[in-house]
Amino acid sequence: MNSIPLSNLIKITPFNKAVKDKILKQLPSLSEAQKIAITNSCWRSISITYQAHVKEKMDQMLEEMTSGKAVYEKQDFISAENEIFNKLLVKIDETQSQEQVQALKDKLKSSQSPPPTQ
Amino acid sequence: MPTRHQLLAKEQRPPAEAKREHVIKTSPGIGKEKLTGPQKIAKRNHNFIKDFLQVIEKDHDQAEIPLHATVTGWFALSQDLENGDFDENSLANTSRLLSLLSVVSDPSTSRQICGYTPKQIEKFIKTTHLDEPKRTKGYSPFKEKDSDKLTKHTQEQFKKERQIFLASLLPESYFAFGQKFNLQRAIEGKPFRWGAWGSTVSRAIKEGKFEFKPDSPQSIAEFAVKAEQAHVLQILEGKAEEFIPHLEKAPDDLKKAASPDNSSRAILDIFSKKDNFDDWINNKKKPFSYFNRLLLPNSSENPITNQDWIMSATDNHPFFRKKLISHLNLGKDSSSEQIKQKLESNYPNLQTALQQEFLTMITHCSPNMRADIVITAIEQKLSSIETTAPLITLENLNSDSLQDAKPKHAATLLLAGFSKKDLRTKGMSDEAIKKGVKRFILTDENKKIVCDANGKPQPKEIVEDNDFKTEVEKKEETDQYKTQIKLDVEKSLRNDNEEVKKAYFRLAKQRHEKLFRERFKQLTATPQDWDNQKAQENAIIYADNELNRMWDKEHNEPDNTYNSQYGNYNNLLIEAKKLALESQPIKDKIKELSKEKAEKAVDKYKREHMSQSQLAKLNTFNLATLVQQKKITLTNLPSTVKKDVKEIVANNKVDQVKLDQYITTNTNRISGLDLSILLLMIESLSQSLINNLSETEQQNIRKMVT
Repeated sequence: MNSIPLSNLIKITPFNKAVKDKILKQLPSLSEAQKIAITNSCWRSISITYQAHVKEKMDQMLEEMTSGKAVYEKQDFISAENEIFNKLLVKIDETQSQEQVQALKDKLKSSQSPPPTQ
Repeated sequence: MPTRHQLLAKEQRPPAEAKREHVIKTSPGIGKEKLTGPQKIAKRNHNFIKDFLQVIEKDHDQAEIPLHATVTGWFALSQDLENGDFDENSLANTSRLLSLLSVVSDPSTSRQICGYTPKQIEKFIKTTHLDEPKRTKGYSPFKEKDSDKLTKHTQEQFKKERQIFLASLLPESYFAFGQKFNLQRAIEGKPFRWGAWGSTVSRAIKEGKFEFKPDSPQSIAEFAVKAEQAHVLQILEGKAEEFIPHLEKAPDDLKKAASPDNSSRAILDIFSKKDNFDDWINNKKKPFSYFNRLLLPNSSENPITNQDWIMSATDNHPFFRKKLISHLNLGKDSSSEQIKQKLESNYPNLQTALQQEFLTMITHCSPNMRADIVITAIEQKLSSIETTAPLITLENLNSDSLQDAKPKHAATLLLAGFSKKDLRTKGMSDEAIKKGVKRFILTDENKKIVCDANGKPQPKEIVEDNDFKTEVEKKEETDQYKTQIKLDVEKSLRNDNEEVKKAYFRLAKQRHEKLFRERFKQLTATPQDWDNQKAQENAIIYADNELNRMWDKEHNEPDNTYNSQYGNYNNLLIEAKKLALESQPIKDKIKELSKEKAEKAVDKYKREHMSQSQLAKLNTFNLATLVQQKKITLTNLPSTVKKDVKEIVANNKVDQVKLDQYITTNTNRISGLDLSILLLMIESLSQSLINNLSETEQQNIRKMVT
């Protein structure tokens, strides 16, 4: 599986702009260990944000089902998650390959990324 | 002059307690040893509360102390609870602890606080009746009633401390040093650190710049991102604690392999956490879990092949070399060339190596054994049906591999249908065979099938070692063996390896379907003979198995991806369930089982599998039913429905009429819910279904299932 370059990863991480600029500026001079630590931080940030969006949407749909306001099929839940994921993809450079997109999706769902606490 | 704390303690002391204490102090003949019940509890507990608040009051300005104090207080409180020194008069003063308990007592998590499991905490809550609305009313930490007792400053302080504490309960990965580390330090009475960014976040909470709402996923995400951001800034500024210091000591090729632009997750995993690294060094983790990862295929853009990578690591890193040599059953002084040859020999196709590793593990076979032999052996082992001929032939066995085989390997091969003579012919030692025979007898005495060189089944010889253990001993050891296999499988599943999961589920599916079809055949073959004793026995066995299997199935399917593979199986289950519900023996059995088994099963299910989101799927009315039946407690419920459920339970609205209405009117609405939830509901209600419901109501239940 190919990895997303750290420079691209930083761009899609939900850090504020000043922090992103600072990381990108110092990126060439960072050690491998620093890059690893920052990579992990980026992935955790992206994943927790993504999962929070997904959880919020799922909770909302389940609430609607429980209260009888709506009836959803399994596919509706899958579509809702895909929709959230696609919104995230918009942030990624269009030049990213399909493989890199898949890598991103795998990362978001990997066990490395903790789910939101209940 | 009284200290601030003394004033506060006096201010907080409930009038009833003060009056009681006055009576205790002034009444003649009432000594300390004569105090009983609430008097004794209140008096002893007062000192604890006082000490606890003193710590909080004294050190509230230091970011590190509140958690420490809370943990200390939690320990002391727990100790007092175990001694029975707690009563409702104390609740006002410890209200903020109670609010923490509502969080840490979430049964859907295995998180422990200071070694206390959620179950213990739940017991504590029940002991103190905190889950009963009338007892806890007014003791909530931030409600108006409490504002009479606490100063504004204290309220704000408590609120912020609570947020900080809750934040500290987030997963370990959010913290530079980890919650475990901090708690351990706190337990030892030493100062602890959150890490630089942890302090930044706690300071932000204390200064009111950030509010942490533990019930909101978005707030948790916001918190996590801010924390990560602070951490990254620390890294950039060189102020972060020394992270991954051991990586600097690693050889250059490993550093390269671990770089962010390389996909070698194994190295990253090993070196990204010190615990992992230490476990690796100290041999606390089995080597295969790492080797599985090492053997993952790299991308085409990665110039380093798997074998190059492993050999490079082996040549340059003593840990890898040691582990690899051990894994390949080579001598300590083996050369790199020997290692490489063995590696190529054992793993001609690295893509399938994961499966081989896994299968090897669950059968305790030698890694030298051919994969197809192992698979066949496992299939035979998992199957309780012994009509199929073994697919293994004598020619399949690799003589070189068998020469250093151990008794457990001999047992597996005997299980697969080979005779002792076969194994001896292939070079296995007499000692291994003899011990293997014993193990085989203990493992599964009934599988007395052997095959000739052509794979044809033959009557098995009666082994001479058959009588050396009693039946009870045999059964005990068999159970232990099966338990060990189950543990190994579960352990491997925790490795979160997709290939391993697939391999297991493929085998498990075959096994389940085969077993189930047999049972189902037994049932359906005699539908008109329900009075027949044998049919009844079968039905009872079936019902018992079904209850067990239902939960086992849930337990063994952590990933919903695999549910689709069970489509037919689920349909068969439902059919059988319907059939079972219609039979009197099953009704009787379920009635009997439901008293204890269903209760245990429901408890186990909700404790291990039912997440907040799953609970949210349940209708409020059903939740109230489960609460009233004491299958779940209010503390387990999502905050969004807790109030409604409380109200229903308090007003005793759960009755048969309501149940009937619910089933009738909600059949369509719940059609999209998880089957397991429906089955859970049915199980929990099975007794009343059998005893009280009309035929129409039973029809409704069946309609729900279908």
